Amino acid sequence: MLRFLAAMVIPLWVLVYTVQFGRWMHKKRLRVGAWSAYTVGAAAFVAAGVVLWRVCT
Amino acid sequence: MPRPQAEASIGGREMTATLTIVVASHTFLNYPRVVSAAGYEASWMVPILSAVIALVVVLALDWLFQRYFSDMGLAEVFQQRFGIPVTMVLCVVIALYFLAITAIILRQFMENVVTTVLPNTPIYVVGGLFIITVVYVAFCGLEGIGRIAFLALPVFVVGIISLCLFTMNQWRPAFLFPLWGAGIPNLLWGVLDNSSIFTNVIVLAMIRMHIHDPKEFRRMGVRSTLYATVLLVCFLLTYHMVFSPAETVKLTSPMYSMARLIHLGRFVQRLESIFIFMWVSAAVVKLTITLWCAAYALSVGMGWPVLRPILPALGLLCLAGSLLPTNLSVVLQTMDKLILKWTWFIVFLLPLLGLLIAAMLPKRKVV
Repeated sequence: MLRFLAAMVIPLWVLVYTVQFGRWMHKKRLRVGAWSAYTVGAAAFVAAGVVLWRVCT
Repeated sequence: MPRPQAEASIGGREMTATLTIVVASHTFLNYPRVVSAAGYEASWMVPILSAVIALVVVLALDWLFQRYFSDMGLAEVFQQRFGIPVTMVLCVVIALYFLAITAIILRQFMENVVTTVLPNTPIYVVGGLFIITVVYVAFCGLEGIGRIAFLALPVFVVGIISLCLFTMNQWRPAFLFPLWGAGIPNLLWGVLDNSSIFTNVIVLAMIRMHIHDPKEFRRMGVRSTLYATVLLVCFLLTYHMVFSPAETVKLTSPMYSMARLIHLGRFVQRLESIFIFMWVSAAVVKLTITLWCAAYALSVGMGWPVLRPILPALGLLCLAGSLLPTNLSVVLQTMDKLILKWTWFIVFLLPLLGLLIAAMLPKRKVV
């Protein structure tokens, strides 16, 4: 479990970075762009989580 | 509407080198095995006939671009003529295609590296380091990708030609007969099934407006298709002279299998480690351009003003997606039965039909 949590640091950093990008677009009133960036970030985070769970546990 | 990478501009030679590597890098993947199953002894004809289809599409696209959309790329044509919702759908389809081929090819390269040169390294470590490199190069932008491809192309060409020549003492030209291999009908089906490796057509159409001179579209399309075809045919001819047809349909890593056979005396043998460098360089260029194109299509479709911040997420998505299938046979089956067989619709038909329909529609005001 600890290995999994440690391995999830990189996907978490990518998620935070992508969410910041989405928030920046939200401020620029690009709502479709912002929500699509959130979706891509979440999809990448979940997919990485599934793979790492399988590898680390 | 904001346009990502608006100032990106790439020269003709760099673009041609990039597109040549995008197609010719299939020599390292399972393309030789798949076409061997379709044409047996005549499989070297498959890329020639597929190239004819690609050339016809390139010439038709060039005519449509010159006649109706002289200063635009495919995504911009969609945006201007179809409106935002349709552009969004079409760009997502194109982006999913590029993401799928990035993930599948990444898995094939990872498996090849793990089974051949780094057997004790975990596959996700190989994949992680590989995707970090790919995302970094894509982060450098279109110019960076083009320059790297321009530097890598001579290494790549010399590598393939030397691989072919170093196995000369193992050539058995009789293996190339009967000339028509599995028969003309099977050969033609093989051509139709595998013509989608000419991804250069859609890549070029997507980034047409980032070329120094968009009028060079035809020259780049034709040259990259011809150069890649020559490399593919040289490799397939040699592959079929070295291995019998029964073996060619079974080898999942043809280039590695051929490199292992090199034996030109006591001091010139087992040169596969030299070819790994060429193999990885070509893979980086191929995956970088497909990842960049996926990001570009998504940014045009979703209205993102920049595309760089999304590259880490797309890279992670490709890496995770490539590791989701539990074994290589699932990946190879997906590549053979889905990607190679059906994506001609996206590679050839989508740009062609898109431009034809767009030419008939009136210009819309892009918000």
